[in-house]
Amino acid sequence: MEKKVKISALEVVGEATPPNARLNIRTVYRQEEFLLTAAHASLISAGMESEDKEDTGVVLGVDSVIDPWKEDFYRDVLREGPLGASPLIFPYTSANALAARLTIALGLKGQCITIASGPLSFLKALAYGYLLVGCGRVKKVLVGAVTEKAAATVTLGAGKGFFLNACVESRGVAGDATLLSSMDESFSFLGRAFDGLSAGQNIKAARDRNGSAVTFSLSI
Amino acid sequence: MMRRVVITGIGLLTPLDAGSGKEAFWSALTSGVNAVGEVTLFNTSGYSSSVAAEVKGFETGPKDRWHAFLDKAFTSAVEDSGLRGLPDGAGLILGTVLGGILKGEAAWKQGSSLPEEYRLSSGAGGLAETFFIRGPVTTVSTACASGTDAIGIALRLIQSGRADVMIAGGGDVLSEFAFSGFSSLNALTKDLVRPFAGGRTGLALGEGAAFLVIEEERHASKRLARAYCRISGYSSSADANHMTGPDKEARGLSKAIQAALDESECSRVDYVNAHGTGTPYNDLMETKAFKNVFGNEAYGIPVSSIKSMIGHSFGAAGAIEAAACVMVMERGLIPPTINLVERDPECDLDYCPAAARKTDVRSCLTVSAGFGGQNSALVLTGL
Repeated sequence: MEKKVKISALEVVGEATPPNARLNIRTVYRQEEFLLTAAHASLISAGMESEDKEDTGVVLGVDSVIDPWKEDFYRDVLREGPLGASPLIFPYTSANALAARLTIALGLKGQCITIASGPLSFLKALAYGYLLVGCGRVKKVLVGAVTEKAAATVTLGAGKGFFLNACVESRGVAGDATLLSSMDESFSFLGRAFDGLSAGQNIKAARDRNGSAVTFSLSI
Repeated sequence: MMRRVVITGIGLLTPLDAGSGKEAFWSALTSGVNAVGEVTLFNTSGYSSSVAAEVKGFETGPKDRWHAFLDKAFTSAVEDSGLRGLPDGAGLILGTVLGGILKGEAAWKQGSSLPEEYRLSSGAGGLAETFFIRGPVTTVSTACASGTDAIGIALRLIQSGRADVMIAGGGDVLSEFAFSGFSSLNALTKDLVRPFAGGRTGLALGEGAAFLVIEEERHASKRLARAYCRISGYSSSADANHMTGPDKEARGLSKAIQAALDESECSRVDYVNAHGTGTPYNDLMETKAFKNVFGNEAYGIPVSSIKSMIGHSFGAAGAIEAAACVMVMERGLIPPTINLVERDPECDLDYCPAAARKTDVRSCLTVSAGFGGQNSALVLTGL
């Protein structure tokens, strides 16, 4: 049963975002900075900045963002043997590292899930976040994604002016579904969906080359 | 009314059975067989440890080791469920931490580009293609809670009506990549895994895969499927504390356990399958979590860690442990925590040391915790 869920406007932070617009926080990688800045902006936009986030969930999509970190870690091992393994970098070689960083920096202690399903990871994260809020499992969820170039976030269950009326993952959809080859493309895709909103529901669908698809409906 | 969800099939591949099937797994598990031994898959010279739990003697054929593990466990689960082909709309949720890392190691050694089989998403993608899966297909990666979370997400999809049948589980392989990382954190034991024991010295890495076939209850009974038990509760939480160390007061894990119990409407359980890695911090934290949730009743609930026998298989761990719980409930026998000789006064619960214990188990809690403060809990109950 589909339910109307509040969704905040999409925040995207990346290389093009001026440094003075980014959160001033110590990070190991710049992608953490992108994600934390976007997430912080989403929480402010949803009016959640100063509230208790004990039960706020996180669902994050990742694809290849940590691959260079894994390669760096392993090349040091190949070059220097066991002593080349960095205990600082190793925790960042797990796909959930950025979601973990988010929870630590922003005090988000609810359900924390990382989706690693290729170019559709962000939209699949949105689908799962929508399911959690729509079914009443969680009141508020921060949904986001990170690539090497940028991070994008929205909040579900809070926000002004927009609603997510449905968001479903499926397989075998073709037709009008937009083919996405990267997660960066999914940021633009969702951004256009927000920008192009008119009265009534706006149904969009995206797919990847492996046959997965996500269909969602936004409204104002 | 929330749809009820049952488990109708289990399939696993672990160091105890090497792909011989769940009966071989069960026999070794309840006999307290120790699968931790000298690593043969790569050179451990220079590392502080040389032991892990490997799947030995399993023929992978032309496939990458990880994909071969997944194929075997998946096929076994579907066969066990009695499904003749997967229904349209059946989906798959796979939990994994490092996916095709062996392909990554090879590429980095050769300086070549990363192949598709390296990608975390390629495991679920490959299974979806091979087995014509037409429903939702997702890969979840929540560190060592991945397998448990995969099952939990599948539960939610069925409860919400998105699917009637889901196959959920996890898989990971042993790699020098992971071995070197855990070694750098001084987390590896040099000999045995001693969960909850005094003087415990750390974890041993493992590998494997496991899947559960999970169905909406009426869908299962309509096709006259044998249902093992229900999944009646699930939750996850974040410690929001540290990238590798758990919250020492166990607040996050306690919260996940309590939320899963609340959903299941169980106030206590007959058995707890612990995360029980054998590290000083984790085992103490878990003990605190059980006491936080169950109070004094915690002393009367048997707890055991099968990682004492099969090591820590990352994304596979939660799924293997859930499958083990299914068998515990089916057969009324709790596997032991082996190597628990010296006691730790701060870990003073009943960890079923030494030998398997015969007892009626109508409800079971299985917990997982992972890097980054991930905590997950599943509750299984009898029909």
